[in-house]
This record gives sequence, structure tokens and C-alpha cells, in this order.
Amino acid sequence: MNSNIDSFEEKLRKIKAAPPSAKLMARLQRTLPQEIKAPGQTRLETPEHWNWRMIFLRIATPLAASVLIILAVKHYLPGLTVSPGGIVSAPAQVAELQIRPVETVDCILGARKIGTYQAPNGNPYQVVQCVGLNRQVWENMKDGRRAARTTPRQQVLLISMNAI
Amino acid sequence: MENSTSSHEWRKWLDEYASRLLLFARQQSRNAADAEDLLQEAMVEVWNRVNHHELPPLALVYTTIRRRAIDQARREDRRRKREEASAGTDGLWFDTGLMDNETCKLVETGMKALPEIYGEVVTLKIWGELTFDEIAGVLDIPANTAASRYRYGLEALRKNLKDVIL
Repeated sequence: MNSNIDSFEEKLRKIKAAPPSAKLMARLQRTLPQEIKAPGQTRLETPEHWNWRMIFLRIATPLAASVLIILAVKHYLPGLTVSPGGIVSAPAQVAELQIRPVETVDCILGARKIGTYQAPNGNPYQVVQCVGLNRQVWENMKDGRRAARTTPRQQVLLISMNAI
Repeated sequence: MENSTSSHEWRKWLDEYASRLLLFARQQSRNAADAEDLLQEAMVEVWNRVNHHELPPLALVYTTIRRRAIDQARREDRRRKREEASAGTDGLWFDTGLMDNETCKLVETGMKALPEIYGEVVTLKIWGELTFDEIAGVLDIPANTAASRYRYGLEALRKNLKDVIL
């Protein structure tokens, strides 16, 4: 009996776990703290009337699969400041904490594009304003996981917003 | 002086362990998409908890996956309808590049048929390559319990798969 079990165990070991998809590997790769730092400084120009309840900066990366979103939520990030001219700044460490990889961005449904931002290193950002997101969505997003499931329509929205 | 874990080291670590961690995440969650979220979520949490100069301890990652899976299960009811609507196809647990598709599917079915307390120990032992002491730490059970669950689980799986593998 024991030899049967040993033999069975050996045969099971020859079966290997399925490898993760390239997309998942990219997501995991970006969980490394150094990988999720801001590519540029956290400073952008915004309209004066900007509602700071919740703001996302979208970083357009060379890889289509690379979707990074900076969440800058004034309510949760008291370090953010907005000058009368609409210049927004945040401490660098805040940016490092807040940039998280996300797979889908269905939570920006209802968002509107309010500007673009060219980082000092040349990376283009798209700035969108989001409304109606609750704290739970924020908690999900800052941990880098999907806030909700994605529908095809939302995917289209994501793609169109990527093209800046 | 920069001695944090490098991107290259991290990639190597992922190449070595991501597939086995994903298998455990799949076992702990309802579908492939949830498993991927679970794994990513666990990695983010682990990085927040460990010294960035060292690669994360494997046992801690398994433990975190399991704890987050419990949280995920609590949220499950609220999300079930949405998930079922968007579930689609679920990927296989095992690598069909090394073993035929049918065998992989049958082993996966056999694993899913095991009681959870046996299945998770078998997964951690066979594919996670953890010791019983490490498994005990991940599951928060005595090592002897882990060992006996492994024996029971393996025997049950062997019966399930007698026409497939033996």
C-alpha cells in the first residue's frame, strides 16, 4: 500500500501547476515596491474648479497591458495641496504609496477627462475626474486589485481613454 | 547605496514560484479571475509587511493568500451574480504543455472533489513543495494534523484517479 502511495505521489509530482499568463506575471511584477514608484513628479495643472473628491491620473505606458493608475484622493491624502492657479502637488512619498497596478478600471465609469499632463520624463498622463466612488472602491483600488468586474462596454471605455 | 530587491531578482522569484502560488490561489477561490486577484492582492500585502531588501518568505505568501481568500469568500455572496454572469471559461490548474489535457483536467476534477482540508494540504505539499512544518504554519494547524490530512487526502485522490494515473 505504501509503495502504491509513493508511486502515486511521484506521478502527481510530474504534473506541474499551470504557469500564470503573461498578463498576470506583469501584474505581479509590478507589486515590487520599486516598480510602483511614480515615473515623474506628482505635480499637475488642473482647472480651478476641480472637485478634489477623487482624482485619477492615468499613466500611458508603452505596454498596452501596463495600466497604472495614481489615485490622488484629497480626502484621504491630506498632503495634497491645490494652489489658486490650479497647481496640484503632493509629497513624493504620497505618490509612491498611492500608485498601484490595476487590471481594470471599471470604477472610472462616469469619469470625465479633464486634462493631460506631461511628466518631466516625457510620460504622458491622462487626468480624469471620477465621481460617485465610495470608500470601498477606494480601498480596493489602493490595494491594487480590481474594484469590480469588467463588462465589454467598460473595456471599450478603458481603451479609448488610453489613447492620448 | 541601493540594496532593495531588484526587478530582476523579483522576476526570477516569480518565475520560480508564481505558478505554484497561483495553483494554491485557484484552489482557494471560486474562479481563475478571483485567483489572479487574490494572488496579486496577497503580493501587495506581503510587500507592505516585509523588509524590501529581501524577497518575501514563501510561507508568508501562502498564508496571506489563504487569509485573503477567507475575506474574499465573505464578499462572495454579494458578488456571486455578477461573477456568474461574467465567469466564462476557467483556465486549467495544471500545465497541459507537460501532461496531456485530459489527465490535467481529471486531476483537477479529482482535487476539487477532495474535502477542502485535504485538498489544501495536498496542494501545498505536492505542488507547493512545503514541509509539514511549513504547511502547519500556513494553515495554523499542528504539523501532525497536516501530515495525517496529507495521507488521507492522497489516498482519497488516488482512489478518485485510479483509472487515470495508476
